Amino acid sequence: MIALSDLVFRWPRQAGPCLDIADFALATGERVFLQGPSGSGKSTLLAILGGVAVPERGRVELLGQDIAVLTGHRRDAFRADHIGFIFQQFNLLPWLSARDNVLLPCTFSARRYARAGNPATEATRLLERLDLAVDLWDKPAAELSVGQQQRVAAARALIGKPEILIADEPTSALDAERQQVFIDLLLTEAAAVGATLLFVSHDQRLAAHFDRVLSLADINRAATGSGA
Amino acid sequence: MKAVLLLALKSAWARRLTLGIALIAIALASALLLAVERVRHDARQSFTQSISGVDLVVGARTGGVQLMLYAVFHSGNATNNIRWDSFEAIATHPAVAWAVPLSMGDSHRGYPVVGTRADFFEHFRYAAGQPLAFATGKPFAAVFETVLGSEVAQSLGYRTGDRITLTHGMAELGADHADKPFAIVGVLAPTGTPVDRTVHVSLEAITAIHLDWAGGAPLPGLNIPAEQVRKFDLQPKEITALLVGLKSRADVFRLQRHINAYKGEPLLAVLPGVALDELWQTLAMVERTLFVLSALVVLVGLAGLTATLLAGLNERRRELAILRALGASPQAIFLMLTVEGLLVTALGMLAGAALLAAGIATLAPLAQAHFGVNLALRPPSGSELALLAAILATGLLASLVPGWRAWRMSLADGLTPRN
Amino acid sequence: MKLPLLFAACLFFVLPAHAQHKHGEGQLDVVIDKDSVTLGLELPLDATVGFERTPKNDKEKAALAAADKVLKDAATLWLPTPTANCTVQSAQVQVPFTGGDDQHAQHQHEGAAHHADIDARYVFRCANPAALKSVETTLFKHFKRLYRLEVQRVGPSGQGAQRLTPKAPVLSW
Ligand SMILES: Nc1ncnc2c1ncn2[C@@H]1O[C@H](COP(=O)(O)OP(=O)(O)OP(=O)(O)O)[C@@H](O)[C@H]1O
Ligand SMILES: [Mg+2]
Repeated sequence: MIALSDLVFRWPRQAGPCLDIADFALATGERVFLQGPSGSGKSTLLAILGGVAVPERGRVELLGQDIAVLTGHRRDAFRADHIGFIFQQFNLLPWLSARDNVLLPCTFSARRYARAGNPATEATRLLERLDLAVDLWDKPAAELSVGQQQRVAAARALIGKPEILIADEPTSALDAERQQVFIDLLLTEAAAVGATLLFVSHDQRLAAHFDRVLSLADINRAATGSGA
Repeated sequence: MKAVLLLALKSAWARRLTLGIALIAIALASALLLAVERVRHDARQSFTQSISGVDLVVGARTGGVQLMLYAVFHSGNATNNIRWDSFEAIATHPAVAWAVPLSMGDSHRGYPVVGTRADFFEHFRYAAGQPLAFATGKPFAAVFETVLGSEVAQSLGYRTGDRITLTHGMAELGADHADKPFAIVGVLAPTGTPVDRTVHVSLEAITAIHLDWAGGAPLPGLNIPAEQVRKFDLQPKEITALLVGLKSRADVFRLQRHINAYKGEPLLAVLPGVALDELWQTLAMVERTLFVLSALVVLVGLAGLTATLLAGLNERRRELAILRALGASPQAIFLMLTVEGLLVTALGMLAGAALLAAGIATLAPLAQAHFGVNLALRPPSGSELALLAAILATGLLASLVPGWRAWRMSLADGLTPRN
Repeated sequence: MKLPLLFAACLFFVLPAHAQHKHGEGQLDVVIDKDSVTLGLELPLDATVGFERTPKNDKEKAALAAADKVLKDAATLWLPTPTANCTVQSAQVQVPFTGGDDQHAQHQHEGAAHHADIDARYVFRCANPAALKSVETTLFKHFKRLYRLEVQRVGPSGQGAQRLTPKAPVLSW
């Protein structure tokens, strides 16, 4: 499903590589917890998987396709078609309603649109499943609480059944109790759509929910991993 | 792509306050630029078409400008008059189709009085060869009859049938020809030319009201009542200027030379269209300065737009990263910003054009009344369209800057912008 | 005060008197009448050959002859709008100090005893006068000392003045 090999990545104007990964793979449907200290390159790795950052060398194979060799345009399309992202916070376009935010992937990807069946009912279903009160659905995203926003973000990542879900510390802005609820919801929904989930966090306590726990330091041979 | 553009619109709508201010700045600047262009054009039109269909204006030999000033604009005084026999010599020249004498010097409540012949109303042309039209009444026929320009009648509240008296000289409080009142027999339709401000009487009337005058003051003890002036010879001995129409315009330069070399007395003949054009050309500097200034104002407005978009960009970094995560390409981000700027420019420009139209609709009567400039409500001319295109092109350039910045940012940021 | 009047008033001082002899500055009178275009040209001799007196040597004589030849070639000197299909009807050129016509060409401007002008008159006839919108001149290319041509124009669209320069050698209306 996801397979990286011989990957080297360096940010512009940086001396050493940020990432140097010999081998890293996720099986279909696997739910993996990736941890590492701040500044170790976790978000960078996710940007590479999303095709937003392009490695200096190496293969980035997703669903059997090496996206590192695709043209920029095809990579962007691939991301829209197959990957759902959830970030730490500010996931939503603040001036769109919660419902429209959820529907966004379907406007960017015909494939996600098709797989959603009827996007409007699918959005309703997801918002219901994620326990968002009905009266919030048509409010601008800016008016939702952080926890509510994260649930809308999860619904948006899930709509149109993308094969890959990537979450970058989606719970760090939530309190402990809400973190648990959110992770449970995310995991069930990911399982329901059969998505492979890569969950990044430096919060050890969340690791228990996942199939596999990985430390970036274990796979990254670059020296940057230690600092903050 | 369509999705991105639609989002760009919604995003812009969310920031309508800041963008609206940039838009207003552009609208005002565009309106100013268009207004300068319009006034420049129309003022030139009003000015250079003050008189048309007249091939030569002839007066005593002074400067060409001075001659135009008193013969066409009825401003200032002729230093010398022309003898009547000079007028007749020109009028009977074989190349001349018609000649109309003009005699000036008196006024009515600040408006110049011109003594002429009734065929003046027939031969005078303005703008693109338009003849004079009577709003009411008809040309004068008797000695103590007068025809008013539209503005004289309007601002003084006169209508045909009313009686007025003339004042000697141009001063509002000059000595009066009160004993010889004139009946208003006609009022001309507005022309946007000095004719609007003129009181027309017959040449004979000018002689008549000065019968009992000498050296600019009434002769003491002499008072010739209006009923008796007919007994006198009212044929003028002198006139101030004359307007000449030719049978063939090919003769104009030849006749001009002929008149300028006239043996009887020193005369000056000018081609009025040429003189007015030359006058206007010397104004080109002022005109250009105004134009450059207003163009600069537009540039400032567009720079404001660039600044607004660039400043907004930092706050929107997160928004752009989200769009990237959703599959938007860096090009799409670039397009989004550029289109936004272009849209604001285009809307501002249209608002500016609308503002100008509204301004002209409300201010045209004022401009006519106070400056004698005819401002017409009409679709944009070629040069105005070119200006609009130039504004749009500059707006595009101004929008490329934030577009380019956003593109660079979205490439450098990855998915997690740092603010 | 009315704006046109105001304009006229402020111009009072700036307008140069017409028909003055100025070195480097020519006069052109243009009449467009029905299908004919008449161009009356007056050039200071200085602008064309660099002196305004009787030629002193063969070189100066040759210069006068050369100027005369250029000015007589009306078809290359004046380029009316091509679509108007204009052809040269006549070209009369009087260059002072060339041949017997001296008396006329050295015509007397009062107080300008040391000046001499070239007078020329060209007539074109146009097959399609409606298309005639401009006349370009190549005078400036031939006579580098000529920097300005003051034009008075009379035509179907009325009268007008224009100033031609080496950078703007096209008369249009
Ligand atoms: N857009 C960027 N441009 C340049 N350098 C970057 C960029 N993003 C990250 N880096 C650098 O790459 C390194 C890894 O950053 P990254 O954001 O991947 O860390 P992280 O593990 O996600 O940290 P955190 O847990 O704090 O989110 C850091 O040294 C950072 O300075
Ligand atoms: Mg991170």
